[in-house]
Amino acid sequence: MADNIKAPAIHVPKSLADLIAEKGKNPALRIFAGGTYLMSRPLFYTDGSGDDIISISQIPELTKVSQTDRYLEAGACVTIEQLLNSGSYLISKSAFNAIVSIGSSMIRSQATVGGALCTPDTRFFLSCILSTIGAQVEIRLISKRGLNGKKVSSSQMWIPVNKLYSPEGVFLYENKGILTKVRIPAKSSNVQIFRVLGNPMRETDSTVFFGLEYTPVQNGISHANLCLVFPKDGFFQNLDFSNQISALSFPANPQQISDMGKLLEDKLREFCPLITPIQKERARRLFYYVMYEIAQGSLV
Amino acid sequence: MKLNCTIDGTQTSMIVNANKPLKRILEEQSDSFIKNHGCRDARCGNCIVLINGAARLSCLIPAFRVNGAAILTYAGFRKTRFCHDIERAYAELGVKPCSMCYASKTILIGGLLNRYDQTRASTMINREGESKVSYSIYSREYLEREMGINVCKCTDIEDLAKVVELAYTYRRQRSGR
Ligand SMILES: Cc1cc2nc3c(=O)[nH]c(=O)nc-3n(C[C@H](O)[C@H](O)[C@H](O)COP(=O)(O)OP(=O)(O)OC[C@H]3O[C@@H](n4cnc5c(N)ncnc54)[C@H](O)[C@@H]3O)c2cc1C
Repeated sequence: MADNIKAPAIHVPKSLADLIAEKGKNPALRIFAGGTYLMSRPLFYTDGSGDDIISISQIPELTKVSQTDRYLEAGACVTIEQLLNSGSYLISKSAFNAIVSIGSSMIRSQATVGGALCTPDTRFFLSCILSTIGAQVEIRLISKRGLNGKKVSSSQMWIPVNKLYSPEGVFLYENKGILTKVRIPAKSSNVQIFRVLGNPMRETDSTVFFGLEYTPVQNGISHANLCLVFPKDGFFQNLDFSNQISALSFPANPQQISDMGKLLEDKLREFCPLITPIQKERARRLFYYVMYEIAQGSLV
Repeated sequence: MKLNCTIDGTQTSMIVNANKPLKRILEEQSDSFIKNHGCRDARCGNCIVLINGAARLSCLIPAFRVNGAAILTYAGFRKTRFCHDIERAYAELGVKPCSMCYASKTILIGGLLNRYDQTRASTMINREGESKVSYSIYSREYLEREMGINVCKCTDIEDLAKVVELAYTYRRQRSGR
């Protein structure tokens, strides 16, 4: 049965320019990076759509990692394991440990940074981690020009990771662009906290990814940046709410923390209405837990 | 596409759809793969094979990514000395994964030991983690995560960790390291 299905052609561009030209000419080409997400879709092989595939793993521009004192820049096709290997000196310990917790080395050696950020219908932990630490991504937007639309041109832009998604967690650039690079800021004296509840592959409806970065100051915290990600239905990173966390003075009393928790619930209701009750509850409890931890830490 | 690769030491050439999962190709090649690696989907971790020495879930690898590769399923791996080290450790410790996951867990351990061989330095040190503990591929936590890719709970993770350690000792003794 499966053998009667239409065989897709595989395109293997050897440069970014070739990739842009081919994808521009044929927007239906499916980008194949590590393939861990695509291959685990039940219908990837048997749906018979026969959509041609463009494999991007042999493009030198997309497989490079470079570093400066201020940031690490990784091509979209760098695997998560390679990112760990080359980023061990630049990425903060908490972010590093959070990345190590993704799957197992078998998955991390195959899954790419770009693939982890561009999955159309599921958000993974890397999006939460990178968004929390203020990483940026380079996107190439492809368009057709000329009288009969035969010429392909591309423009590039750098955007923060959170701008890749709508608050409902929808990937906004599906079939519109190619993610080419990720720029991860070097670690600073900021504190970063990451937590995962649930398993994003097996329990998508109950998993919650939590990330919080802040600068510790004498009577509390400043520059708080909270990111809550729900694999199927929500990407929450709200400047207004993060500012309110920064405005708390520590040690905060239980009432203040409880009020913030209620505010978080309201915000989630407003911005991520599709998340499940268990996700809402887990998000709230994670938030309380982390805030109490910070409050306790500020007492000593 | 024409796929050329080595499966369990035998040079193989076949025409397949480029996006066909390696798992399906192996199932069609031999009944022993179906018997040993009863895989359900990417969530069970029962279809692990070695591709050029690295453990991989064969359901996640398309044909076009294994052209020219050396693939070892359990049927081929069991004939190697590396597998004997692991089986000796099973016997010594009285640990035996169930028949559903035996092949994949054994190959998984084989892949892990290959990795140990490659990574001579015992830890990858994070600048902050000058205490050298941030990411040790020998730590229990790491082992648990690695073995967790196979979801069968028939064997205690502590026991499997001991198997990994003992099998690695056998491997090192054998190669005089
Ligand atoms: C067994 C298993 C366990 C896992 N465990 C975890 C876990 O614990 N935590 C976690 O967070 N995740 C986990 N994952 C998910 C994993 O992180 C993703 O599957 C992976 O990151 C996807 O990356 P990839 O390179 O394989 O993407 P691919 O499958 O190649 O592509 C994914 C999607 O992104 C598109 N795409 C890829 N690259 C680009 C690009 N450069 N520009 C534009 N679009 C692009 C593709 O067209 C496709 O739609 C697990 C996955 C598996 C199979």
